[in-house]
Amino acid sequence: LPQRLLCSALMCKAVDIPDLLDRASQRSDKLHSLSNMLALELESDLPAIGRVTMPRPAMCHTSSLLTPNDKEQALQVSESTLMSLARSLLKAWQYPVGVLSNSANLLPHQSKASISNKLQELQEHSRNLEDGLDVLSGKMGPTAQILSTLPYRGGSDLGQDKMSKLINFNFLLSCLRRDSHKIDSFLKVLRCRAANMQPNLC
Amino acid sequence: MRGALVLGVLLLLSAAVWCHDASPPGKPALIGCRSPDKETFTCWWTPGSPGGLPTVHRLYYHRAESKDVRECPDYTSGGSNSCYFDKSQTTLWVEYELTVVATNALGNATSNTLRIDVMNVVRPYPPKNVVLQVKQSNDNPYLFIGWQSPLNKTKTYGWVTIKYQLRVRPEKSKEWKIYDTDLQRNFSLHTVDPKVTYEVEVRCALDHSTWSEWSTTASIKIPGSSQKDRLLWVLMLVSLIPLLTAVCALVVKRNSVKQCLLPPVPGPKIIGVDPRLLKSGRAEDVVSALFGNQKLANMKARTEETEEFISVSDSRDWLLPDERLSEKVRSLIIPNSFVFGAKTQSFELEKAADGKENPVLDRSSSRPGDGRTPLSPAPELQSLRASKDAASRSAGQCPAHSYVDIPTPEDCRTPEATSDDYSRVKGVHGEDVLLEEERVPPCPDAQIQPANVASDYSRVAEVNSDTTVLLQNLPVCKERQHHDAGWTVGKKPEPPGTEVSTGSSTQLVGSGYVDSVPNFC
Repeated sequence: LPQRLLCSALMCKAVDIPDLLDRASQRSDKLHSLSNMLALELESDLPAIGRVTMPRPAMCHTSSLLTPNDKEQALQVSESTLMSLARSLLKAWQYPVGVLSNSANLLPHQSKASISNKLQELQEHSRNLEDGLDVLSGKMGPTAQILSTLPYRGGSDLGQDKMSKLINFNFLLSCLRRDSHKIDSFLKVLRCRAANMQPNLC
Repeated sequence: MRGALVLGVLLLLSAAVWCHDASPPGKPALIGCRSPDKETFTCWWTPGSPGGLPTVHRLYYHRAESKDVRECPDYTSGGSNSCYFDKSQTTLWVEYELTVVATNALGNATSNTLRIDVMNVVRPYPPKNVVLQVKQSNDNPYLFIGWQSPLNKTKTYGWVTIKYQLRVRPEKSKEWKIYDTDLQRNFSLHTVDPKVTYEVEVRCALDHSTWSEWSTTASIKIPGSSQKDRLLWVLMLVSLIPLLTAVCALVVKRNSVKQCLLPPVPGPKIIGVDPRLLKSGRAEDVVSALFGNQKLANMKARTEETEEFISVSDSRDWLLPDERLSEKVRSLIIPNSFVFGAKTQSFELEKAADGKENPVLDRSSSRPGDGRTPLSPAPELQSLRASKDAASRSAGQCPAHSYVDIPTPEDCRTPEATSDDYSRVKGVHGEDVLLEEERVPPCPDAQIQPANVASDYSRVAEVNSDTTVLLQNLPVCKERQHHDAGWTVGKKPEPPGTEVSTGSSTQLVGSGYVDSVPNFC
């Protein structure tokens, strides 16, 4: 893998950005895997009525963030922008994931213990990825440092009754699944672009 | 907006129309969509019941946040009743709403609305070109499995990350063993057994999407022999060596093996009688031979001795009184039994028409009074008979018809005994044997007689001297066809000093006996 040298006034440091990106994308892959599993697990138990009344994905608190939605766009956008977007999305989920993790025990679901475990694991991965991306963005330039604010307005309580709880849980997890996929895709494109002379083949 | 209006009008139309023979089309149903590469996707529907008229299906869609209804850009690339969205039409992480409308002259029908996010319908096709190879690693075979991505892209990661999974099983097993290979497009399986056929299938997934279908099954047989087989071969070879040596030994020593397994049947022999002494022709030798040494030879010596002989002749020059011989004979000790039976070497005698034509036979018509002591077959015969009787009683058989017939006990009389191959001994006169005068009996039934008691026999007229038996001149019976079949005549070299009778040839017949049956050995 090519190494980029960042030389400051006195010292030259060998910055292995591809290596860092590799590690970051591994973690984001794990993150997406967990959120995917959770979303599917809960979706299967949701009654039809719940599916109908569930808010549309456009209602996700992160949907206002404009992101590339296909490969061409992902390859056209600058690397710093991609990094910024990934970081913003990740940050936006810090609080809601905590809410989910706390509410898991109260969830009217037979396998809530396993759900709770997965959520805790997810939370840990999310925190680690955040830290890693902070380091990476520091090496990529100022644009990478920009964080978009995407406030979560759902509150700490997911609902009063069983059905509301289930519906809200499902809704949040579906939003999380989409955003974790975005983060994972962006970081992997970044990894590919950093490691290859011909990024358009990514 | 316009799209919604169009839809509304169509719906009104469909409601207003009545059918006569044909009817408006049945309601189609959207089945689902699939994105094999995270860049394009295809959706399929099933048409409803046909209205009997030509029906057109149209797919309309719009993105969740937009009101802009569009029609399917491509109805053909995905097959019939499908809609294909290319790269420019595909947007991820956005909800699509799809509807299919079936229209005919009488009306239309609208399908259910399908909401999808392309992210959720990603599912690649199976990996291509699964290749199996058996390779060697330190004398152990292992299975190398290789395959290709279903996508054309060469990069292992980027916009899309493909991971693979394969499953292996021995041909006859029902259980698969699954291995994850992540991004690798090959895999080496070391836990394979030789001579077993393995089946392999591979599948893939994009970014934690649903797994593809399993690829077509590839199978291969691991060649070579297992440790067990090698050991088996070694053992077989090792065990063959003694077998081969045994066979070689048998082949080399086949003669002695034959002697051992199929000992030749000894001819008539009397224990204690040394035939060599009889041959010498001297009186004292004969006497000592017959009456002297009466110790029993051991069985081994007997089996080695093969033959005893009696020479036969046609003439009837002398007769032996009965009583004298009997007395002498009774004094003899009965030796061991002979081997009787149909298989014994026959004591076959050539029957001559007039006793003169066959030079092989001993025609000596030495008179009683010659220097030669007639072979007293009397004691010999008597002992023969006695031993025969003993043997027959012990063997439960009646004496065979290989020998000069001596009156047998009543209970042992067999039909064959009355055949005309024998001469009946009327009695013993001194040292001579008196033979009965025989009429010419009709030829016996060929079936009654055992095979070797063929027409090779000649009837003995009388026994003359110590080495001659006179043959009877009998008319040929019809069955007696092959007199000359298979004579085995050998002449023992006469020891010096053996007296040869003058006149006719005193050829010793055979090496002890006359037989027309070829030797075993």
